[in-house]
Amino acid sequence: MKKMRMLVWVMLLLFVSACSPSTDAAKESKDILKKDWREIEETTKNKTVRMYMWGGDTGINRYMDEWVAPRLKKDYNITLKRVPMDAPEFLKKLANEKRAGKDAGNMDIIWINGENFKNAKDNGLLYGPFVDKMPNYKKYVDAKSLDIQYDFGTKTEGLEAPWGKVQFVYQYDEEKVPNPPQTFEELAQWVKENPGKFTYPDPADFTGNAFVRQLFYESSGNVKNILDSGYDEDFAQKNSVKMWDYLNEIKPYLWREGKTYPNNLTELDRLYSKGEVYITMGYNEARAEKLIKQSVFPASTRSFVMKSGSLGNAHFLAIPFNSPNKEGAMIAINFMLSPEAQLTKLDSEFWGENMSLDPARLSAADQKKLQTIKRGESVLPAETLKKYLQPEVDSEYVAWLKENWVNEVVQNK
Amino acid sequence: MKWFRTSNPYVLMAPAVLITILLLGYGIVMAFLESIKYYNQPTLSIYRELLSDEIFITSILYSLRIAFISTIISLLIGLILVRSLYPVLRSKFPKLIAWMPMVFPHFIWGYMLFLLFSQTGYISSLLNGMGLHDQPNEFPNLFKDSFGIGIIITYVWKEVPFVILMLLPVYEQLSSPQKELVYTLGGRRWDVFWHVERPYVFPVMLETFFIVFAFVVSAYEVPALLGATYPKMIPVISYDWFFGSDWTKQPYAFAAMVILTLFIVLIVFLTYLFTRKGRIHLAQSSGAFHDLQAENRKYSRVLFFVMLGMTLLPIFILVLTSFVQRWTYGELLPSSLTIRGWHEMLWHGPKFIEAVYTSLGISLLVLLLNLLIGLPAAKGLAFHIFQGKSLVETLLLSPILIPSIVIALGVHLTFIKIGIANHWTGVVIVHLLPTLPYTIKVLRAGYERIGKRQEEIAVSLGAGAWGVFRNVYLPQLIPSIRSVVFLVTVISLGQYFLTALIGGGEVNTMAILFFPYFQTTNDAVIASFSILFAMIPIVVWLLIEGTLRLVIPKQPR
Repeated sequence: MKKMRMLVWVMLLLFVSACSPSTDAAKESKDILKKDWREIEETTKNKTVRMYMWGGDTGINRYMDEWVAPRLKKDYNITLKRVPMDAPEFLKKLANEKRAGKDAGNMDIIWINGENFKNAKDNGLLYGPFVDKMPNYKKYVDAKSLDIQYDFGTKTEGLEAPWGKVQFVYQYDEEKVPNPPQTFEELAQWVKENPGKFTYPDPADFTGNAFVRQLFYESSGNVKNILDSGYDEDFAQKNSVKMWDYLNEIKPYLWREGKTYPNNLTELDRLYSKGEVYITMGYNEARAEKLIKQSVFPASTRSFVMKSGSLGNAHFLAIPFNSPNKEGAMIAINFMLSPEAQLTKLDSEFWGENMSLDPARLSAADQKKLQTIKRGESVLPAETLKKYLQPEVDSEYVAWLKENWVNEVVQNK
Repeated sequence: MKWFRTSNPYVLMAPAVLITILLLGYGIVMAFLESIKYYNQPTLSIYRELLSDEIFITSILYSLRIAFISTIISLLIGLILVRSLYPVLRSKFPKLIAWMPMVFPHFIWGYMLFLLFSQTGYISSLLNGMGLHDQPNEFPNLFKDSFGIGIIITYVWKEVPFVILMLLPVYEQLSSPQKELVYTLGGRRWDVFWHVERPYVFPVMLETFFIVFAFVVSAYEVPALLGATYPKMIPVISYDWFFGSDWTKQPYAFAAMVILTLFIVLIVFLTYLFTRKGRIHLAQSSGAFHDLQAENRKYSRVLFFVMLGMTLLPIFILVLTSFVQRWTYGELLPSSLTIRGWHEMLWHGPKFIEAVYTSLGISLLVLLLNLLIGLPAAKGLAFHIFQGKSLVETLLLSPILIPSIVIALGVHLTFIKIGIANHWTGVVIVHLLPTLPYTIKVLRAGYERIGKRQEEIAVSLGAGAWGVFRNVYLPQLIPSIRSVVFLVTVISLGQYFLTALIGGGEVNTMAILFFPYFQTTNDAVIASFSILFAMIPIVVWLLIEGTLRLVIPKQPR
């Protein structure tokens, strides 16, 4: 019996741990939305807000840790803890918590968009709608604009608040590419004249998919056609022929003769940084600035957009259904939507990314400030960007393009 | 400490078996249920679909081929190195050198080799700078090729040290009178190898083969970093299904991994079944005779320097890269240097310190549990024959044969329910999964070398159970315990996915803090983080080495 006791003891030792108190969370949550803003502010003093976000950019992290967090502490007495984690991972965690019926989680704010938002929304992982509670949202965000009402074709319905906007641009080395292509035809021409100096990431990657998506827009005539038809595989099949032909046509002239592709944007950027390719690409029209400053990209890096259009989207902040501090999350999100926070974010010293606020709604002083911010030589003028801006389509096309690309382009010998 | 006295193998192994079943069981059941979509209508359609899909089959064959080639080459090189170098490798410094690549996570090692050998890598750049070739593409293309050469090179480079770690204790204690006997009887070198070494070495080789093979065939990071667009290895495809945007694809990930897992587990089980008789005589030996005569002593110095070079070259490049701001292709020296990478790291200040302490604490606890559970289990496996031994062996090895995404769902659900998710206890327990099998393997080999005769003698002289353990086994197990310390800390520190999921962001280890930075393009940042990351296990190792010196009554030398 002593042996048995030993065993029990070992097992107990292993499972001794903190237990999580279960609360009547659902009811509490509804009450929060009935509170007025002043009350919400009162209840969050001395509490911690845990924000889960992708952590792969030192500039963004510095913005959060050095600028946002100290101000939240000072002005609202909220401790902001940034947890670096990729969206698919924290959503897996959240989905499992939902499944196990855990009402008291530990994430208060999550940073998502596109298909991650769709998954979170479809699986009931989000709290809200909460955006209308926040004064800064009501005051500065153009809630009627399409890029805020829809996130990759999914209605946002107040479940997420826009944090920033980015636009897809191509970066090129001015010294090596004096006249960058303006259309996809010109690009094909350029690629043939400069074999091995262009490629795009595997469409399983976010950026690679966006590149192919823009071709898909062109292939189907107009983005309106895609938006009107919603997600429709027959439509996609019919209207993608031109796109696959195009991709197969340039394939032999790509980097490594199109036998392989960069797995993600990091790899493409590395190729560009080493001078193996002359063009790279990506969301965030100002992304090259920091990389130039760090000497990762050559100083002669500039950017261009295609005349046929450039994708733009917003990214958002949301509150998980089981956040233990929803009030604090709202206060923090509201603060991050303040003109001050958004203008600082625009500065390429930290992040260099566009505001989610409507510039027209800013105060005269802030508008002036906005105009004086120089985004850097590699960033295209705001008018140019605006002129070619195009919306995102249904996020289900992302998966469709990813899968079919393997069959149509990779397998096509 | 009564379990030291018991001779009932079931009791000795109960903690290890129970913990393995508890952690794995629900996970595997969940994974299987998910793969047959039990919540709708149970169906095997996904399996049928996968097994008739050309891309999937190509991918399976490709994965098996890469795993097989990498494993065989690693084993051969490892065996040759250990045979010729074990007297040299007994000393601490050479051993640390030999094990060094293990402190770098696989993908960092892959990244280091990529820096060195890619078409625009340092070597190609150097050749270009010396005027030996004009274009980067004249350098052989080793990475992202459809044959997987880069993947194989990375795995071989990484796994050879592991093979050394597994084989070294065997060679350190091979009996020399037996060898002399073979020579006296007119045997040649080959006969010595076959009759004296093989019985001891072969079982360990076989197990090492499975461990390495199973790891390579199911690991995600290296092929994700260095693999070609087509064909992709199975883990890459599965991870994409698992983490991809289309959540309805998740069952495919489970199905793919279940197929792969079944395949591996079946082979391992059959092998154990057929080789169990060959192994038991090992434990009948009366213990070790220390023999420091290497087979090829004249080559051992040369070989050691080759190994030293192979280990230090990538590390040197990594250190260099951490200071390089810009190094244009073809230039012999970098055009500008920077401390930005190190600055980024030091800027983390408090978070960094917290992560170091958390990592240290977790890995030490994991280590303690490993020893507590592993020592009796290893003894049970080494000295006893019992019903269902092959099954138990397979079960105890299975956590490393089964990819973590398969069991992550079940383990996470369980941990949430018993309230240890988002807490360090959960992280410590889940880290047992990828570490305990190694511990048991290594310690079992240790017990087998010592044999049980010494215990019998000690007991007949009146020694108690604790006395036997402390005076007979512990001193002689030190080489094995060293290996365990090293392996467990390295593996525990390198766990990202399981720590992120179970720790839920509350437990911020070094891996959690730094892995996101591997997505940056800035090589200086990646390189300085990698170096820092690798330092931690070395520190742990030195700490424990120091403690061992104080605690252990006599050094086995």
